[in-house]
Amino acid sequence: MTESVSEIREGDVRVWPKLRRHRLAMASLVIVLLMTLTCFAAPLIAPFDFDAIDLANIRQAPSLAHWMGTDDLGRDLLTRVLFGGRVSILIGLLAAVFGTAMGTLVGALGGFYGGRLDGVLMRITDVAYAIPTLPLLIILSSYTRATGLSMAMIIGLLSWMATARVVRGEVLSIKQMLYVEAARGLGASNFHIITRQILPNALGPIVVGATLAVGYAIILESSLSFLGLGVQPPTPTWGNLLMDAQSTMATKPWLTIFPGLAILLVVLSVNFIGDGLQDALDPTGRAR
Amino acid sequence: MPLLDVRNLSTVFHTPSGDVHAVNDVSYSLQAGESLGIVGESGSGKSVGALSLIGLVPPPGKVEHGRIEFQDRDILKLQKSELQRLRGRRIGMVFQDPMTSLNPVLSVGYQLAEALRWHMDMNETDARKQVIETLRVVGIAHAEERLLDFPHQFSGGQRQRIMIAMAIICRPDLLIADEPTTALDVTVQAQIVDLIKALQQEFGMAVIWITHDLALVAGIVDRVAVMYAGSLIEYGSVDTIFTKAAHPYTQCLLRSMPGRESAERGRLYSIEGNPPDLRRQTEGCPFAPRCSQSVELCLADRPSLGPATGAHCVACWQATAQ
Repeated sequence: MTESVSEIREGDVRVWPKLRRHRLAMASLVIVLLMTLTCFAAPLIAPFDFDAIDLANIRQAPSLAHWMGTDDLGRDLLTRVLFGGRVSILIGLLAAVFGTAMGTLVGALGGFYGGRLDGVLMRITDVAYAIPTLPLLIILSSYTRATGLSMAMIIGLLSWMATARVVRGEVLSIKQMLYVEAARGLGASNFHIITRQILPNALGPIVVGATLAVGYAIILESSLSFLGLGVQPPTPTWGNLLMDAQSTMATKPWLTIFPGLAILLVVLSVNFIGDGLQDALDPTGRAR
Repeated sequence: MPLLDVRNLSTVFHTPSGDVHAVNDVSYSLQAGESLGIVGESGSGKSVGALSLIGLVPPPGKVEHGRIEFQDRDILKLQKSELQRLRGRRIGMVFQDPMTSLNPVLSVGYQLAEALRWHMDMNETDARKQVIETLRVVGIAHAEERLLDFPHQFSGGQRQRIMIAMAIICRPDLLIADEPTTALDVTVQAQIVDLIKALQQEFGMAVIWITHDLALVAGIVDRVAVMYAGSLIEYGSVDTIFTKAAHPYTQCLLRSMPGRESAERGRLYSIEGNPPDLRRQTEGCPFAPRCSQSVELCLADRPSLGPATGAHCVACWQATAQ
């Protein structure tokens, strides 16, 4: 009895029980959690120090001693990937959340209220799109100190526009639906209509956007670091591991493959989680 | 004092290609517990007129002038928040298409409980009870087990029942039913009509039926208002309208109903011509160009809704002259 009462209140967006049945999403969730855990436990479990230079063993291919090989200075790549993940996963997820939230807010407000507010918000979006990333980063970097949070926010600020446009389009079409009008007829407030009636129906594209944003954020972080705003060498991140390996991709592929694989795994997992979330939120897709 | 008193209501859509006068100087009133049928063809302004009552005319539409008094309050002067408290609480609305009137991602129990939460300040246990009770009243079997089901798990007729449940869950004083049976098949139509009628008697609600189906309102309403091109052209008790229709348009409408006459002729009667462009405000009677009885006066001057006999009003020069 008490359970069904609370379920009715929550609008039984009973996501979790349904998400739990989505095998791919659950596997992905486990992978992301495992990766996060191992990365944050890196100081305990990593076989070497991330900045331990070993000039006797430079540019070694993967072996039993160095599972992912070594780089130009003989540093163990596995160790560096583990340490790199601390920054990359955190920033990737945080920036995606931040950018998606901002894009959703802008898009929903513009699409729902229309008129002048929409005009202003969409022009801001256009301008944000048009500003080239690098000069903006250079300016920002001279004003802020690099912390994980500030980097995530900066990346979010650079990547919300696509989501805003997509969400605006969705909201524009959903707000025409009869159930929105019916909710109004029942005395619903605008806040309720946006958060309960419209956004749950626009979740698909929002989730897709968030997924893409994770990968983008991990890569963008390396540009930030390159400009001196982010993490400084020798501290590794997945992004700067990839950047460093660019010139030697053909001769020492493992330097590219492993960090690349790590990014791919996280992005893909987030994608599957998003997929599962979408299915869980769609009541008609129960069979899966 | 009537429950609802509409005076000289005019709703205009300001579009780039001109002002569309969707509702034009419409007046009527409704007593508590009474039922009124508003009849007219598509585009005659019946739906916009109903939406005007609860302040939901979609932009660029706007109520230009008039007065809508509901329970002694002028709806047009209410604050937005006051309007929100009125909608769903005092005035319920049932829409045309049940297939799209329920949010697909929210369970029906949740959607039904919303209004109770907003208007009645109910705790969850009471809200749940009330939801189940209302679902039972509208004839959803095993209501208790179906609270957490989603709209797609119900049939069209059931969904319309749920829509009706949503509209009446706070026991409103007025129910506006905007073509509630159009999207349903005939047997279900009859059930829905009977349901609303029964609910009206049980709760003593006033009901406004908006429909293009004269036959539908014949057995269920006390009075009928006929609309044409945004104007109210005839208004009277249901018996008067069906037996002594005075306006030529109403007469044409009655003749176009499938019946003995059309059966003998082998085809349905239809009214010549098309409804007028609502962007153009004509001097004369809007129906004059299609009317077989029109004279010069009809084209030159617009007749106002005047009494023919007693409570029977008609906006026609010919009918009032007789």
